[in-house]
Amino acid sequence: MNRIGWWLADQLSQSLEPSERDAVRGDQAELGATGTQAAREVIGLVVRHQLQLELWKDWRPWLALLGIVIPFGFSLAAETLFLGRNLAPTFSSSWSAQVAWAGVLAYPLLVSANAAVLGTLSWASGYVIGSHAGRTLPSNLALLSFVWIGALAWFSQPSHWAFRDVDQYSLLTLIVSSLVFHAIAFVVPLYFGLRSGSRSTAVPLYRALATAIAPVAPHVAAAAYVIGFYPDPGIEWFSLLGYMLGRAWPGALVVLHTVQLRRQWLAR
Amino acid sequence: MIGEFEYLVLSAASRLGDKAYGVPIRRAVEDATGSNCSAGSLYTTLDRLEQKGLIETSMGEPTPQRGGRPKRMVRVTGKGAREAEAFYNAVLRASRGAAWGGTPTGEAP
Repeated sequence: MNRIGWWLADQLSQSLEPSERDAVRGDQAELGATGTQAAREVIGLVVRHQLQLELWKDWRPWLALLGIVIPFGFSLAAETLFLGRNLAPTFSSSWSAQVAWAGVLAYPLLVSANAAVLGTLSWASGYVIGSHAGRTLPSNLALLSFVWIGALAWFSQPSHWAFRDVDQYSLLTLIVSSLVFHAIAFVVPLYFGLRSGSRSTAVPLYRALATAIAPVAPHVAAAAYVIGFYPDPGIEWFSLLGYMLGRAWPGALVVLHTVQLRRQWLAR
Repeated sequence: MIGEFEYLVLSAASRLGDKAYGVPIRRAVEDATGSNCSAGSLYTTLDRLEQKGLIETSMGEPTPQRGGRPKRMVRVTGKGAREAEAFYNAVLRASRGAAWGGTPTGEAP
């Protein structure tokens, strides 16, 4: 418990100014505080800082909060869980002889492609939160955790419609595979995006552009395919365009931030 | 006008002089009030006092006792001393004639 407390105090104090972090942690060492006391004190200080209006007078924390955390936090977490669960039966029950080899090969490709697209979107979202939240990062992360836990609770409950009429083994397979896909396509890329963004790591421009293009590429390809085969495909273009712009939004912010960093670097 | 906790911190820092930093200020405030002074309340108050120009802070030398981390040294500015004095006088004026514990604290104005 003591070690967990010190670890938590270490992690949380990263959001403090370096001088303040040194002063507070030094005081704790001098007072011989326990891990629990240290964590509690740092949490108290971080919460007090987050409640200061000055931190929220800048537009960037609001962009992270309203532009990414709220619209993308829940939807991405939910989408990766949902898709992971829907892809799962292809592995749990379709390996039988009735499935053609082409199908067997297509499923891993389908899973990988979906994981790559959603992983890119998750990374870009994490990068924007990390690079724009600044000292409001604890608040943004707290809210992101809240919507993440909400998505987990909502989509992982066995009473959900997609889990009905399945035996216990299949139910376990579904839940485990959806959580594994969720981790691969959402949690891990989001974490690395957050880390890169909070360190203001300059991303190569081509990679930044890829984060904007990759999430919409499958939809562009699908639309082109439909148009090629059907003279009147019945696509609602306005909705499709809005959806694609939404998917490209975090990547577009990564591109803008990258361009800004490059200009700053060239100006030096 | 400063707040009561700001006054307690300014008084402690003034009394401690060039030995004023987090730990002794916390102890002084706790001794004076008899209640716990958290790092959160102390450091947000120090930030606020510094923004108002009532104190100046600087980083001291790191010591082994503090795990190699430096102290945040505090010095009360002239403006800080005047504000603290104004608060003290206001408390004295406000307290005249009040009978805390049955004993009047001074003459009524």
